[in-house]
Amino acid sequence: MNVLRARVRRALREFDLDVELDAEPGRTLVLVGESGAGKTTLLRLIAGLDEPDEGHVEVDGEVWCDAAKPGLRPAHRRDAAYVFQDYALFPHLSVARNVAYGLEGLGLARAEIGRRTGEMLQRLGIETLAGARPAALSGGQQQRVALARALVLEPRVLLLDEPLSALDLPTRRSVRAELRAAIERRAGVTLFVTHSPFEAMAFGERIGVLERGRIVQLGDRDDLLRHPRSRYVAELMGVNFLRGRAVAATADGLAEVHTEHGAVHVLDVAAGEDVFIAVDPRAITLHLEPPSGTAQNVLRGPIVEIAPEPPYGERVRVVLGCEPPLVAEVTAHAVETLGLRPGLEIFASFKASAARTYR
Amino acid sequence: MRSSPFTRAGLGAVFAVYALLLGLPLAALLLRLPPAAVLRALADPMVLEALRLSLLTALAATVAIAAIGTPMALLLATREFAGKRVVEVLIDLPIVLPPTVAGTALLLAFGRAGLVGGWLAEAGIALPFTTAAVILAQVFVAAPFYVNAARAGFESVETRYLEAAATLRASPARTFLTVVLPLSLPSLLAGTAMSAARALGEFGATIVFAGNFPGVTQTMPLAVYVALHADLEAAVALSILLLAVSLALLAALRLAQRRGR
Repeated sequence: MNVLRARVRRALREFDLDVELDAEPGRTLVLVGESGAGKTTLLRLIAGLDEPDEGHVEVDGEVWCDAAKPGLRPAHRRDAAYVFQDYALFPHLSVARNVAYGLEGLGLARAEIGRRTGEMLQRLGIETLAGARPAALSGGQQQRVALARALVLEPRVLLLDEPLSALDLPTRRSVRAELRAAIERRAGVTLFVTHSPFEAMAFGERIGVLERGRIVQLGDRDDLLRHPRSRYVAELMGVNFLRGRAVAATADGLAEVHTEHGAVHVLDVAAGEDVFIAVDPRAITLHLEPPSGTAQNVLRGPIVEIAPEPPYGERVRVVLGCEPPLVAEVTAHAVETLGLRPGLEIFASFKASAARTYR
Repeated sequence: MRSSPFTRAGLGAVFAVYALLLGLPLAALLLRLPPAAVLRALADPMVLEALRLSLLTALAATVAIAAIGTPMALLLATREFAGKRVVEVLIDLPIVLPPTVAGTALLLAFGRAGLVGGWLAEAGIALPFTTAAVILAQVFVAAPFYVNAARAGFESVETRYLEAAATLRASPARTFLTVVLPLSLPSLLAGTAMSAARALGEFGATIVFAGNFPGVTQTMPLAVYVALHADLEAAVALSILLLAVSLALLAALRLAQRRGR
């Protein structure tokens, strides 16, 4: 049972990286955040490429670093492998020698090194490239070599730093599937950092959101999707996010919640309570005239932006300048029949029951 | 810079000046003797002795420079320390110091009446006017060429490769041997070629500190100088030989640099 525990603080240029996290083996932990949020620094602290100003990192109770005792366990004595964003393959060594590099330092028999290297090359489908130099490889091939070089050591901790971001889109798709297969079988701890919420969803059984050096939310996929706790997470997940205080509760269980901009009606909240509210963009309908239906929330405002959703643009995100601001997701057909265009004043409505509340 | 400001006439003038400066003396040297006479002169025992001594001492000096220069280059490339700028200047000094001054300094340090020469003599070691003195003089003047090239080579190795090696369990020593050395090898080879060439051509420091004894301290440049007064044919033959060795070293240097790209 390899458990990684880290509690580290390190000053970055504009803010401090200040993170406390646990990671268990067999469940990939993805840290997602904007570039510059401190993701790479965190991985470097765990790998031993940087030292924390404060705190410690331990794996299975083995202390890897402790700010009170600098140089306790240098990078090369930590059982952690690092896949770099730009791969950092050794340019003077063949693919096979790159992959064998870590094993060669372990004092294994030559035959054993050859066998394990060969197996790993085969597993990632790069055995035909064994003799090639990294400079002769495509991005996707280099990525596989970098992954093979790390995985072949069967490290207790595998650190993946934006492993797909340097690839073009079609390559990314195929490598993503392989990467998933490769890390799902791992016995050790896997830590994956990315700026892409899509990758976070694809890889993370647990997902932590890093914002300006701090983990603002940590949970499983569903928890993040359903209960975002910051605007950043909500935006990543594509949900409407509101927070506010319930001011009045009526008899039928309806409560009015005052948010920073404007009020909404939700269910099952007591007066005086602070709540988070998530509204699925698909639960919001748009109308040119005030709607006559039963929806308890009707908001009026101009269309700020209209953006078709990938992959085919059949669904369209409509950003609304009402109070509170909302994003609705409607069909391309609806956009056409209603004649939606930026600047148009329209009505958005959703039922109180479509507003998910949580504390 | 792609576009060239030269007119045809300007181009011709540049080449003409250099032809006068470099081409003419070299041509004079090469055309002076028929090839048979050159070969005959090279068979002269004095020439052969000087050639043997030159190759031996330059080789020994180059090996010594690599041995002491590599750690210093690595230190300069990887560490900051108090007085680093002073060390850098001192290391570069022999490049600009007149070699006769270098020879005098060596003599004042290791000569019989020198700073440490007395102790050395008591221990039964006499450096001046020995082959070892020739090597020491060559190391003194040629080392900076190697140290500077090696340092540039070490500095050009990207940190990410060192970090990759560390995350693959390589100790700093193993990283140096398996990553830093191979990646900076072209620079090390270039530095070796340059310092070897400088050692081979050494004259001033050698003649002051080691003297001019055939078979012991009379290297090729010294033999050329002596022969000029006695036997012009031998001087020309020796010069042609030195020219050939120098060209070979330059070619090796070019090759090493091309490999590095």
